[in-house]
Amino acid sequence: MFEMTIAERHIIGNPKMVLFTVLSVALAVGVIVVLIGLTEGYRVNLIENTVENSPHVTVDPKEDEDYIYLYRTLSAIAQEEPEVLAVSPRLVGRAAAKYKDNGEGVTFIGAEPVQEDLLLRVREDMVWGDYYDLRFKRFAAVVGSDLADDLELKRGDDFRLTRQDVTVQVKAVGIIDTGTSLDQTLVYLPLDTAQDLLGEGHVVTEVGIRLSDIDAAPAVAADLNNRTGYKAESWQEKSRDILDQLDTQQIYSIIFYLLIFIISGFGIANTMIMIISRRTKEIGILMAMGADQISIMKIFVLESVILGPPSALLGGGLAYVAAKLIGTIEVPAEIYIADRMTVILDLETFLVVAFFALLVNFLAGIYPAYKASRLDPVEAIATE
Amino acid sequence: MSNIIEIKKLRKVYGDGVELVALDDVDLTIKEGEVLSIVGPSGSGKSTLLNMIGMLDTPTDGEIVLKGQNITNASPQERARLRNKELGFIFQYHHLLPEFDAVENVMMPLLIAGMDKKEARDRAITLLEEVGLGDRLKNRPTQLSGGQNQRVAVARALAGHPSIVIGDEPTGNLDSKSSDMIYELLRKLNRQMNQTFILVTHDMEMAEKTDRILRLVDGKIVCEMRREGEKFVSREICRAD
Repeated sequence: MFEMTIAERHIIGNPKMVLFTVLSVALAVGVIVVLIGLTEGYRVNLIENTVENSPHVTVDPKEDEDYIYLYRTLSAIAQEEPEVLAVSPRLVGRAAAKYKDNGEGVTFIGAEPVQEDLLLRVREDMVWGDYYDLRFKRFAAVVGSDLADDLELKRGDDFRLTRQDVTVQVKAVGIIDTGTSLDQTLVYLPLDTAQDLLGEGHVVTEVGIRLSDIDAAPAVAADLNNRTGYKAESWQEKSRDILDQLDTQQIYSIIFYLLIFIISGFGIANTMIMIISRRTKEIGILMAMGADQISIMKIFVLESVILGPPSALLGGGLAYVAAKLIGTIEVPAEIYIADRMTVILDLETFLVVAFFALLVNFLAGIYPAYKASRLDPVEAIATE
Repeated sequence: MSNIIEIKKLRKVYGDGVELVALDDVDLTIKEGEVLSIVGPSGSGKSTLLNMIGMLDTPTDGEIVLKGQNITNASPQERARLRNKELGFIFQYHHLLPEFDAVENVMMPLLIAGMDKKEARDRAITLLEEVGLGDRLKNRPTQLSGGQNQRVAVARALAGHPSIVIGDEPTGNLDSKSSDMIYELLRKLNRQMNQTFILVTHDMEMAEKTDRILRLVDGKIVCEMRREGEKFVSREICRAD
């Protein structure tokens, strides 16, 4: 196929134009792969974060009640569900913490430490102290790291928690750092102490459940709903807003990626038009030698398409390097959901983007090639 | 000798508003193996006539018959095929492809015709040896002199065994020594292969070496002279212009 021979020779003979065309598409591929990787990384982090720091299924009080009274029975029923790893009745409420002259609003979670640890792996996040101490010390608390800083609370200090007219004095026996904004307000208490603070007797506000398969959560929640009449919600439902938002964002992202490709397509088309205008005479000569319109078109479409694979590969390389660099940047966990941004690169994403890059090269080559094939040979040869 | 080209009442008019008649009812018959030169002042329609015969351009009116086939209204595809099969072009400037060496340039019409690469290469080398460039096969146009490039262009025009070779000022860019050399080359090939040569030229010395001279003025053939032995004989009275 002589068209291929000519296209190859044109490319070898024009390293500058090759460089710029390849770079334009490679940058597009690189940027898109990294952005997709970042979005995917964010998604995965967000889900992991949600799944690790909140129960997979939460059972809330019945509609006309404020608390769950029969939480022991409820817990026993929940234990019977498939995939259940842990069930922890929890009393979650708001209170004011006071230490010396410092005061802060806090969210307290009263729970049985062994169950709660199975539910949320609390002990993994401990900076110091042992969460299990709450099993044997009734007036003890584990405090979020930022809250401890704000209160200037040190290990072993006693501080007061006040809710309405009830005040309890507890000793800080541990500091926890979950890596989320919760660290600014969290106080873990033994369940009995939390119930004292609430003053409503033996009640909890929710029962948290951890599952071995997070995807089973909606089914387990629905089943519990049916069996108990309590309001059970899966983590997917609880985080629906944010998951929906991610989906919406994905649509915007796709439009954005298409725009990037369109821009790089125009770049290629522009280069191709320039090349063709420089080679007008040559096109005329080829026509005089008997090259037909289809052949002329083939030559220039090929020229554009040949540059696709190296552009995609270079783009993939750029994306890889960029992903590694981005992975080293530390970001505040309060702003992002983890202390490092994660870029998830997978082969499938790269292949899809590479396919689009080839398509862009092909489409961008068509119009200039078509124009070239329609040149009038007499005029083309006469071109200076 | 049979007629290879018959042109009947050929007209070419350029422009939509202001019309410019480039060819005005031209009748012309060219015989196989003939070496024909077309002379005339600039803008007289020589190149237009040549482009019509070369199927690079289409007439406004009239008919062109090539080897008995009416090609006046042939499709672009068919014209391209016929250009490749029946015609060889030599231009004033060599117009070789800059990225290709001499052999590859000569191979190009053969590759366009779909010939196998190896076969095309052998044919190209033979032709380049014939035009005296056997030692310049691997040189690119920038590494060759004007005369050498024009000889490569001649080899390229002849590569596909065309029945007609068209030259638009084929020696217009060369000194007289190279010019003579190219002409002698064309003549030799004409004798060897009985190809028809149609040359547009300003060079009367060269024109006088051909078999027939046509003089074109304002799109009309005003004078036709045919060689008879050493002398040229006008068939009709040549109008003074």
